[in-house]
Amino acid sequence: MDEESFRRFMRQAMDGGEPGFGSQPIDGAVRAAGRIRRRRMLAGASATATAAALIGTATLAFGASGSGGNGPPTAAAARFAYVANTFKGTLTPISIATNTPGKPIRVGPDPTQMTVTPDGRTIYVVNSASSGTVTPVSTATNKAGKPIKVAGSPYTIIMTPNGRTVYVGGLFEGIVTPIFTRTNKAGQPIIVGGKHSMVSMVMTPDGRTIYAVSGSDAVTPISTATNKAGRAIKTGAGETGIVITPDGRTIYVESASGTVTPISTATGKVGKPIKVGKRPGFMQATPGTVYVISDPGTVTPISTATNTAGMPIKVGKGASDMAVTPDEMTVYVANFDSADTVTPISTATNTAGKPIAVGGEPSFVFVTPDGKTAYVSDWTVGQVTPVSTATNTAGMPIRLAGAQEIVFAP
Amino acid sequence: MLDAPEEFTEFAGAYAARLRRTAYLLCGNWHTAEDLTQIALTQTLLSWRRLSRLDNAPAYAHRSLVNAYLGHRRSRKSRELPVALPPDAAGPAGTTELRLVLLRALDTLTPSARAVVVLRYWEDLSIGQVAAMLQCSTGNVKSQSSRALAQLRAVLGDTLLDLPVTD
Repeated sequence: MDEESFRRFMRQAMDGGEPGFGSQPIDGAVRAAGRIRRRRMLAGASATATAAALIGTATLAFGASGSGGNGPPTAAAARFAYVANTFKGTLTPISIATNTPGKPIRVGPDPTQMTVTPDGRTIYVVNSASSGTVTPVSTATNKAGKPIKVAGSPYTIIMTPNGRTVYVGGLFEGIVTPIFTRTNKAGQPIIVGGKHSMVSMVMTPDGRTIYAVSGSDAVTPISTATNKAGRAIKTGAGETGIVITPDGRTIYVESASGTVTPISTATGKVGKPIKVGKRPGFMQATPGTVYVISDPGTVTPISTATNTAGMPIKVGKGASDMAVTPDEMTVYVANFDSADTVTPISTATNTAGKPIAVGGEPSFVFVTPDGKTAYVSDWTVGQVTPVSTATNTAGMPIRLAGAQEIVFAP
Repeated sequence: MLDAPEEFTEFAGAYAARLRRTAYLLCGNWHTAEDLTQIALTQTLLSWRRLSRLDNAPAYAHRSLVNAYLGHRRSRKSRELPVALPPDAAGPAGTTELRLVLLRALDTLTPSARAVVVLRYWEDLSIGQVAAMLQCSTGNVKSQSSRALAQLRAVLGDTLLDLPVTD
């Protein structure tokens, strides 16, 4: 039996049709569509939720942008990059010095977002939606602790600078659940409204307030002292993404309609929406500038002094993620479907440098706390590629199935 | 308007049936196939923001599906029985029987060999694409598919001879 005859046999056995155009019942598709309708606004939130993760990890855990709190580890202390292998349910530590992967740590199904305690001892991993759990992982032993059950479908995560509380944002329920890290117990869920999108969060540098958006026409502040939601700030545009300036004075929320709106954290005053490109995605805040990815393959710089958009910076097609170096001089943009590259943007001039070929399909990018390496992860091919920020050249890719989010820890 | 979610709805609508059929060939029953399809679509939706900027959603959905299948197999001690007459057998007379023969033959393969066979000969993916999807070498795909075909030949031999040549 050759390949062709087996292929033909399969076609005939399955009604002789092409795959996918047969007579299967439609109920599943309808059910899927039902779920999809419930999550109408989710799509805009995925990348921006990563913003919360980035702020929660790189910024808060390592104090890159002047976060308060009690002694984040020094940059030199981060020795490992922990990579979530989303398809495998594991976390793999990679030695930053040698770029060699260690033994995978089994966490839970579909690990996505993570955050690290300021002392670097524990990583909290959200096992997304299906399991409703968060798993603490000890970086000393590389062992997973008991999964912590939270309400609803957790997806996003952020931590206070003092490391006492982790907040987990839900996917469909419009809730944020605190987990107290001393006991690893979940508290009462905090309702932030907007059940149609995942909850994206940012925290003020002093750790007092969380701002959450979840696809409704409002931003909800949460007091971390009382774990209660404050009065919602009306914006009116179905906000799905949020970012906070390093000085904590302004939050910027984006809506799928292609605008980014500034809100003062001191007064709650909503500014005028700023037009960016179509389908705004991931946002990254640096002192003075908020960078917003939008179609088609551009990054729009917004001056936080004037709240005006500058000339869009052309990067690669399918730009999906950004990371900023600790010295805030360079923003690296992962270009998912554009000749397998990462584009460095100079924050001084807001111009793009030469794209760096990393191979595969770069989907996430993270910069080490010492600023020397940008790790680019790629779930399609299943690899993580280190890029030297000194020379902007890529090293040998490290094979890791389903590699997605990365955090750094001692 | 929110265009991206509409795009996902469109994608899911157009692609769910295809995923379900591939899932069916992988696991051998519609019920699990439906679950695997839901998992694949959910994972795709979770990553939609990144995916919708390119035409890579089908690849992601397939990858999720195959991973869900292999994970499902690993998590089960007992093997699924490829029995259950599909209640939705809507094909021309005779194909149900043929389908069960096919499933029974596929069920003699290991989960990973079965995934190779389904992706190669049903989805018509190249050896390189299958290797990328299963995160293994192209050599591994080649050896698995040739071994699997030999085994299927042993199981199916006569059935295949009875097939009318359609083209």
